[in-house]
Order: sequence, then C-alpha cells, then structure tokens
Amino acid sequence: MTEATTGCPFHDGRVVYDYSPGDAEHVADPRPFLAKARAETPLFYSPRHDGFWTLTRYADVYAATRDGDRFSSAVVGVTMPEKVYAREHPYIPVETDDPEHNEYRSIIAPLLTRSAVKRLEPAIVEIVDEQLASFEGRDRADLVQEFALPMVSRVLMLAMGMPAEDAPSVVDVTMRMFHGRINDKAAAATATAEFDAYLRKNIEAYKAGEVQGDSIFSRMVAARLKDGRALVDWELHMFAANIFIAGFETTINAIGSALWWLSRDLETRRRIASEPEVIDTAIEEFLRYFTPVQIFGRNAKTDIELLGQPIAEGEGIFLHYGSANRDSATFTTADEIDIDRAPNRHLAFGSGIHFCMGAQLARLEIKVALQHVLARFPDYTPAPDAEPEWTPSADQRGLWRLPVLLQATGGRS
Amino acid sequence: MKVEVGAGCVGSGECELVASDVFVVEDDMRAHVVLDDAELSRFNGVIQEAVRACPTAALRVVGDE
Repeated sequence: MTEATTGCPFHDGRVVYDYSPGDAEHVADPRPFLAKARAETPLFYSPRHDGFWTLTRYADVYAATRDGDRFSSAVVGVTMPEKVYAREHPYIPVETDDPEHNEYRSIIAPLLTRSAVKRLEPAIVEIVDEQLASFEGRDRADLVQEFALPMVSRVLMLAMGMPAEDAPSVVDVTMRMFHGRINDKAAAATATAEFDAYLRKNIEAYKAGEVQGDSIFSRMVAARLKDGRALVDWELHMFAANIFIAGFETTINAIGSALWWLSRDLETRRRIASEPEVIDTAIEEFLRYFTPVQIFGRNAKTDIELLGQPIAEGEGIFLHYGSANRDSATFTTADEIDIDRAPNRHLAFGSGIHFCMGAQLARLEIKVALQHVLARFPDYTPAPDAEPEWTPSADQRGLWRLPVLLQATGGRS
Repeated sequence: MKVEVGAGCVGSGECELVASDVFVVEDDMRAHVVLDDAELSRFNGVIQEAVRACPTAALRVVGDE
C-alpha cells in the first residue's frame, strides 16, 4: 500500500508515494507536493507507471544528468513514464548511450546550431505571420490549438524536410495526436500510427532520391556511421520520430504557457515592447517557471546507492526538471517569474550529454511567436468565459487550449 | 587567459548563448573559441558564466593571467 501525496509517505525501506505528475491535483498545481518532497523526501518511489523513482532537488537532478556511469538512457521507453503506444526500438538519439548516442547526434547537429537555425528565421517569421494573419477580422482565437500547434508543426516540417504542401494534412494528424492525450488515448494512438506511416513515406522518398535540399531527413538518409554503414529503416524511423516528438508538444507548451502568462501580465508586456532585448531573459524564465518537459527518465545501470537509498539495476529513475527548476536552494524567489533573472541555469532542456538538441531552434520559435503575437495583437486578453486548461500529462506541462480575445476590450483598436 | 573546450563538448550551444562573442558551435558539433587568447580577458565575466552553464562541464579556463 502507498499513501496519497497529501499524506505522509509509506515506508518499506523506501519512501513511497502514490504519485504521477499526470494526476489531476498535480496538473492543477504541481507545487505543494513537490515543495514538500524537496524539503523532506528528495528521492521517493511511486508504484505508478510500472514503478519509478523520482529525484526532486536541483543539485541531485543536475548531478544525475552528468553521471553516465550510473544512469543509462539506453532502454526502450526509459524517457517517458506514460507509454502512448508500444514499440520495439529505442528513440534515437534520446534512448541511446554514448558512443552510439554521440554518433547519431553528430548526423543532424550541424542543422541545429545557433547559426544554422538563424538561417531558418525568415521562414519561421513567414509561418508565424501566416498563422496570425488568419485571425484578422476575428474577435477571439485559441492561441494553442489555432496558433502554437500549427506553427510548431510547420516549423518542424520545414526543419525536417517534409513537403510544405503536406501542411494541412500534417497539422490535422498532429492536432489529433495532441487532442487524443486529453480526450481519447486510442484516437491518439491511431493518429500516431498515421503519423508514423507519413514519416516512413518521407524516408522512402528521400532514399529514392526524390527530394532535394539539405534537411534532417536528407542528412539521416545520407549519413554513414563510423563502421561505414547507412542507417537501417528502423533507425531512420525512430530518429525521425524522436526529432518530431522532441520538438512538437514541448515547443507548443513553451509558447502556450508564455502567451498565457503574458495575457495576464501587462507590466511584462509593456517592458518587452519598450525594451526589446528583455525578451531573451524572459523566455529563459518562462522555460524555467513552466518547464515544458517536467520529468525525464534514466535507468540504473547497475545496483546503485542514491542519497543513501539502494536502487536495483534496471529500475527507472525520473529526473524532475519541473521540481528542480523551482528549487529555492538554487533559485531565489523560485515560485515567482522574474524576467530579468540572470544567470538562469534552468534544466528545462535537461543537462549532460542528452541536452536538448533543438534548444536553439525552440528558443527562436518561442521568440518569433511571442514577438509577433505581441506586435499584431498587443491588447489580447484571456477570454473571460474560459479558464486555462493544463494538459493532464505524466511528463509534459502546458495548456492544451488558450482562448483569448484578440483586441482591446471595447472594440478593435 | 586561455579557454579549453574539452572532449566532453556536445555542441549544446549554451556557451554561445551567454558568450556569443567568444564561442561558436560549428558543424563538427563542438564549441570553438573565436577570439585570440589575448582578447579573452575582456570577456572574463561571460566566459565564467559559460563555464558554469555548459551542460557537460566541457569548458575550462586555464592560464588565468
């Protein structure tokens, strides 16, 4: 038996809570339980999701990300507690260890450097502009479902090298993947299968030499590993799937959370308008505060001892980035937004060798999205008849819809 | 002053984010110091922050003159 997270933990040589970040109480407000865990039981076990450990303090999470000797990523399903669909192969590169991990990363790394993603900026601006232009003449819009989701899908298509003309059907299927998490997990699995088929179609087109241009797909297909071989079909598929999943809901959530905060924080909006450079530290602070990827897993490589607790080889250990990023031992006023916070060594992109490959692209997408929403709809406000709804996910945190009034109350400006 | 980029560099770009005058991540998935050693001391503050911000602890300041 275990205790609910509102009570004292159950002890059986382990500190045990009945905990999943996807439970309604934690989705509504993750802070109370995590603050208590950080203070009293910084490492605990939960029997949920087939059983997993959770580290909650910044220093311990940070140390674990850098400890490849004790923590492995090379286990299928290690990274996420909630399995949307069963699979045979690991995501590449996130569910691999070095040296394979490093070799896989190097295939697409040149396309994700700061200077490489900067070259995508005009195309990202065009996508963002087009999506926002579609709101002209309307009084209200949903900035997650009608803006962040199609925008992020289209930027990913561009970076990965999917044909732009497929955007309507890709946005349709990614919308169903996104919605399915809330309403219907079977529908999400169906949409994911459709999306997998679409990824395979792209891989075949690239392999057949039917597509030109330098993209993530073209690099994956052209790559030769150190032993001289090309990536086999399952590697290409799990690589492409990993890149899309890593860049999709994460970035939507980052943009949605920031737009929600800005819809209510007029002072920050005024500052971003009058001091454009403040947006960079503001984005880092939104990433810290909301932490789109809340928890991320590793496996114990051997029998280990962690904070005095024996953990058996193969047990799952989740690094609670969301909790670490609110640790008052590391961040002053950790539960407040301070858009000038610097340095801001948050763990929203993880740390260690698995540090998010798309971090520079994500930052650019968030920046373009916020700048253009604020420029085009400077007076947008939360729709008074709709509360923000946080996604009931066991690993990601974000709004699944964000209804806003686009113009100043009292009519169009 | 000299900054070494160690074997652990994975090209995260976090050094470039905080010290873009000093570091650039190139296609070899590694950060490179783009200034001469003599120019680095002017950027001491952001270099120290880059060292701390590196996700793989790959940066090291040596010969701190």
